[in-house]
Amino acid sequence: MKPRVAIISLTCDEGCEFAILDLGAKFLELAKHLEVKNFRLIEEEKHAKDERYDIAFLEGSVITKENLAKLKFVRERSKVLITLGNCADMGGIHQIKNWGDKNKIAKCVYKHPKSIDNPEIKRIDEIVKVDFAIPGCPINANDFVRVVNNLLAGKMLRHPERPVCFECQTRGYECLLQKGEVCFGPITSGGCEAVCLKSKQACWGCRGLLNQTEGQKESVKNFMTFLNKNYKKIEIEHPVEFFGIKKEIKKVYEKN
Amino acid sequence: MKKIKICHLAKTEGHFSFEGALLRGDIATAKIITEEGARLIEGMLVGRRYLEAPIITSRICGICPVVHNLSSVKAIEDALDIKVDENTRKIRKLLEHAQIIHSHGLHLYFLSFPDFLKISNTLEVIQKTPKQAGQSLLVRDFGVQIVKEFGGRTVHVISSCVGGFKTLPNKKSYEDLIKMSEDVLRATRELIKVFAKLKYPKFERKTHYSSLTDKKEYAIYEGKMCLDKKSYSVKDYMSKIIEELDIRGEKVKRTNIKSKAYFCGSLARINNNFDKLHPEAKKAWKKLGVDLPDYNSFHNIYAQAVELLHCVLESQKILKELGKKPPKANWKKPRLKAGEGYGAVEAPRGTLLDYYKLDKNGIIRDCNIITPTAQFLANLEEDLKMYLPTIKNLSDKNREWEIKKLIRAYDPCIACATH
Repeated sequence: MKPRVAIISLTCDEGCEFAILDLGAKFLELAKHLEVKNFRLIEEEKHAKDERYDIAFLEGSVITKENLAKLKFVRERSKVLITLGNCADMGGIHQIKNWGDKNKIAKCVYKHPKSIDNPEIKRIDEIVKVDFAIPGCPINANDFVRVVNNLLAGKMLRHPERPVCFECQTRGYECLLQKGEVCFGPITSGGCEAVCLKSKQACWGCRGLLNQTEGQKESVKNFMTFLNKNYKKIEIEHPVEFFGIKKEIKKVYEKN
Repeated sequence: MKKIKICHLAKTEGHFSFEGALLRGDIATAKIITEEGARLIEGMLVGRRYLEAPIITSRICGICPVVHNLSSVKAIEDALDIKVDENTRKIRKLLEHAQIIHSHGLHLYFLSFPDFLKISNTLEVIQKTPKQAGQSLLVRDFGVQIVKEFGGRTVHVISSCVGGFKTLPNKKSYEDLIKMSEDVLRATRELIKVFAKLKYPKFERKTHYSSLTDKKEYAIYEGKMCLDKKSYSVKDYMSKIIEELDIRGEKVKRTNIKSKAYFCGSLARINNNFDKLHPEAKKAWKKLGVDLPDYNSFHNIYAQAVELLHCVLESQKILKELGKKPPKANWKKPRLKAGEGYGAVEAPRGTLLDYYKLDKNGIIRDCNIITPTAQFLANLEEDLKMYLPTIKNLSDKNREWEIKKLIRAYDPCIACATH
């Protein structure tokens, strides 16, 4: 029997769903092996209250009360919950406000900010159990294909344990760190094919830190010490706040 | 009184519901209610460096990240008095065309077309009309591939920055895209016939049409703002003409002009700039057999199909022209100064407007983003109020189809509108 799949979004830009749709014919081919039961970009059927899924893919953040209810609903009804992208994985750009005064930030946008939901942004795995995360902003759509193919074969994908730096240098892209830019490629988990570096954009860590072994923790500490010695605070703080690796770095490098 | 509610309207970008009611006589109420959380994009931009703006704003929307990138890039370049060279402008126009191609390509066949067959699952429509599905996938993929080659990837472009492009593709990319464009053009010509033959509901409500306009070309990347043939500077339009409604409890700030709702999007562009369309696109529009201005909002669907053809032809032209001697990336770090700037581009759904105020260190001190959907939402609600009484005798199910058909004809993006 084909596995029953849901692709669900909470508050976000739905960029990861579009990364999947941008696969075009490749996605339709993959969909033949699945029962795509709930994917609002391509269907609007009535969904039964007790509808269950073998695999639910979920992107976005919890901002409204409805987002939270939907997340719990999806978790309860799915055997496997896989998050799509940086918003669900680490809070995405939405969590930038966590590092500032969120009430002041809301006041920049609305005259009556108190009438709008404005919670601190959490990672989805801080709210419900997550079985696997496909990282990135947006996801590397090939990761989605690999995850689905692995699940069809009864396996869970393992992310490569190598930094973005490795993928950048093996492709022969120019090293921005050597050029004097702040780039988090050395401590960020790879799998993105160094797509930003290809376009000369420094890595700001959207896929999160590499798995934190003791050796890794040491290299994060050394790397942050190196950056703090050589760069202005704003040049380090802004990129780490952007996709949320600041939280992870703080755990291993308290001084920051 | 009969209440009509459609929860969680799908096959659009972003989450929302519709609530309406038929009152006595021909009076109806209609409201679109966003279900997106407010991400507070402008608030998080304040205090950050100018260069972060296009990276953040492109993440407002997964379907039109290119235009969010370009609109903020333009506004910041305006603030910093940066003039980019001719090739950079051409490549930005190419990216604009590509954005419109893949957004319209998705909306036309995959989101709106199923409404006319009354099929709620697009996968079923694909099985029933495999030829059109293949054509649509091909056309859409052309837009996607251009964005990938020139922007660095398909969603959230990377290479396009304040000051120009950090990287640009080589001759081989041009050759591949030009080769692809021949098949794409054939497919587009076939597809447009399907959309010319669709039975669009008879509906008319006089309103105002807002878009960019330019003396030389069909304006999508530059030009002045235009409302019912009268033109304004982008600065005046954004700061004086458009009124943003900031109402307690409303996450979407709808806009008015002189207390009136107005339309932006493909139909507005065709109404305002028809004579600048590619001749073949002009000819295609005429198949509809209506006079301009066309006040039938359902025709926004056909207007998108006509623009699809226009954009494919224009992209092909730019690719051939630049492909002879592919321009090299010549981005330079901008020189900073304090200032204010405005930018506007045509997003697939209508004009996107950006405003930034920078301090002397390039830190954003104030900003505002007005999206197309926030602008046309009031107009869509006015249309629905007028349309509802005319469909009051339909069965509940058929009435719901008609409501959804009108809403989707606008191609709303509630994620953009809420941001």
